[in-house]
Amino acid sequence: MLKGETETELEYANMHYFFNDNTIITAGKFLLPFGQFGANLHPSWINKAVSNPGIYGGHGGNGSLGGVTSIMNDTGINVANTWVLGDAGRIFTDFYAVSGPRQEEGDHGGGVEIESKKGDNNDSMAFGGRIAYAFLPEWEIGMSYYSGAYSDDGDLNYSAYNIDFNWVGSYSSVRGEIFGSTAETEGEEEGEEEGHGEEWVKDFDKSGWYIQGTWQARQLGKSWLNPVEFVVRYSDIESDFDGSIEHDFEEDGGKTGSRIYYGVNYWLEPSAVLKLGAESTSIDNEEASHTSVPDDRIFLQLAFGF
Amino acid sequence: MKSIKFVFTIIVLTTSAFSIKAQHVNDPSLVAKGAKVYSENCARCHNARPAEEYSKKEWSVVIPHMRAKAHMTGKEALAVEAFLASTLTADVRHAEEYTKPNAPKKSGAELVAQFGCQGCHQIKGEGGKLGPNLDGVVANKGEAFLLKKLIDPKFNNAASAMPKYPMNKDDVKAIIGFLKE
Ligand code: HEC
Ligand code: HEC
Repeated sequence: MLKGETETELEYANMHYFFNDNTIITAGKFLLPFGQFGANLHPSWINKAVSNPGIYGGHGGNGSLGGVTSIMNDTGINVANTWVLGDAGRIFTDFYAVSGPRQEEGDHGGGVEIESKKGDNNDSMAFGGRIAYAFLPEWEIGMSYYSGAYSDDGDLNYSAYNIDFNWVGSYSSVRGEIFGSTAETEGEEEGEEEGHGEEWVKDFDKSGWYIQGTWQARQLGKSWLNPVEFVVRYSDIESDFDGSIEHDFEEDGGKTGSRIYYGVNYWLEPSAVLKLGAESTSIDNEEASHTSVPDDRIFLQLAFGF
Repeated sequence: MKSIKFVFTIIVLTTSAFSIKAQHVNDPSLVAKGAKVYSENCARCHNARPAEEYSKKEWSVVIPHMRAKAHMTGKEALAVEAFLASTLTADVRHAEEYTKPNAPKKSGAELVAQFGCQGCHQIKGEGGKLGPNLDGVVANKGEAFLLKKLIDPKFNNAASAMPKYPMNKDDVKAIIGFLKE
């Protein structure tokens, strides 16, 4: 996206076909069932923090951290299934085929485009899925995988995995994700004189995790504390970017490090919240950053859902 | 991409508008099951949204979407919708036999069962955990508090998931009597 240009796009515009009691087929544009944050937790009235977990860089003002390359929504078809195992046990599966990731625009090829754009750039589709075990109402653990060609010629592949766990109690919750992505990158050794050098393809890996805890002060039984909730979230990202791969990053795309967020939420309604948060980010690989100022932020956000 | 367009067309053609039937809303065991399914599923991603935020028609649009998000079965989704709709329907408070002039009033136990309180609350060792345990709540918080809470659950908590039931004072008193036992 060019600077100064605003773009509004539907995150999802889809149809569900309720095939039978346990199977739902979704077609159209949908949030990919990959992990939890992108699919279920990112709307601001649902997200307990003002910012996104550090591993979800690039979405919604993520400050100076690069994030794992993540694709949130796409167009295609998804088949979801539910298996009921007794009163509380459930297995959830999702399998989808979508039009697939694109190459970032730019003079030198660039990396994987994480904002969704209309249309695909190559003929190949991307495939993915998530398998989860839930023990209702408190537990859910899921594993997701995604793979697709992203380059214009269809030669370079992007793939990602995610493991998410969720524990939701009556007053508190703990969630986390482990998330990794691999994007094949190609280049050419400097050729001698005018000839072409040898071509190479290397994997550009990023991985990270986050953990988030929340607690509702309602548990203390004081009526004035009923709307108050506390949030802590820690995220950490690593990558093998050390300058050896020549890669045109989106600005800050290669920065890795860790981030901690502390927040207090004041709920005005079940879907309206005033969030106050403080966040501190530290960058590990200074060679990827253009600046090395410490990144500490304070946020105030009012979020409404429908 | 062609095949996707084809499937998409079929789906548009086969999805028909869906709206909850009175027979489901008036089925006490379905409503009680719905309260349980609601309590176990609807706070997994976001704060549970109380019934009175939407009309019955609006819930008929939201629930299929949430069935997909939450991976609920069709039966579970129907139960949740019956539960939500029942709390929005004044005439489910007293089933037909109770609306005759000299019919007996519903007992506290019957109302608690019919409203699905135990979907979200433990009472005498049975029930869900979305809301607090109600054993001893009358002794701890006082009858005046319960009188207010049952008529307007948001009076002390603007984000409460507890539905605002179509209850009158008699119902509330019967329920308080039952909770005191
Ligand atoms: C797996 C996560 C998840 C579960 C479980 C879930 N929701 Fe949601 N819900 C969402 C997300 C994400 C949104 C907002 C974005 C959207 O509409 O897709 C949402 C939005 C809503 C909205 C706002 C209106 C709308 O359609 O956007 C209502 C009301 C709602 N949910 C009710 C429920 C109820 C009732 C249940 C239990 C049956 C439930 N949700 C279970 C994820 C979930
Ligand atoms: C959909 C779930 C749900 C249902 C059904 C429900 N409640 Fe609740 N209730 C809650 C939640 C959540 C709370 C705690 C939040 C709050 O204070 O509102 C609560 C709080 C309460 C409280 C206050 C408890 C305290 O210690 O402060 C009482 C009393 C109560 N409920 C009684 C009832 C009764 C009686 C019924 C049936 C007529 C009922 N509830 C049905 C969710 C529910």
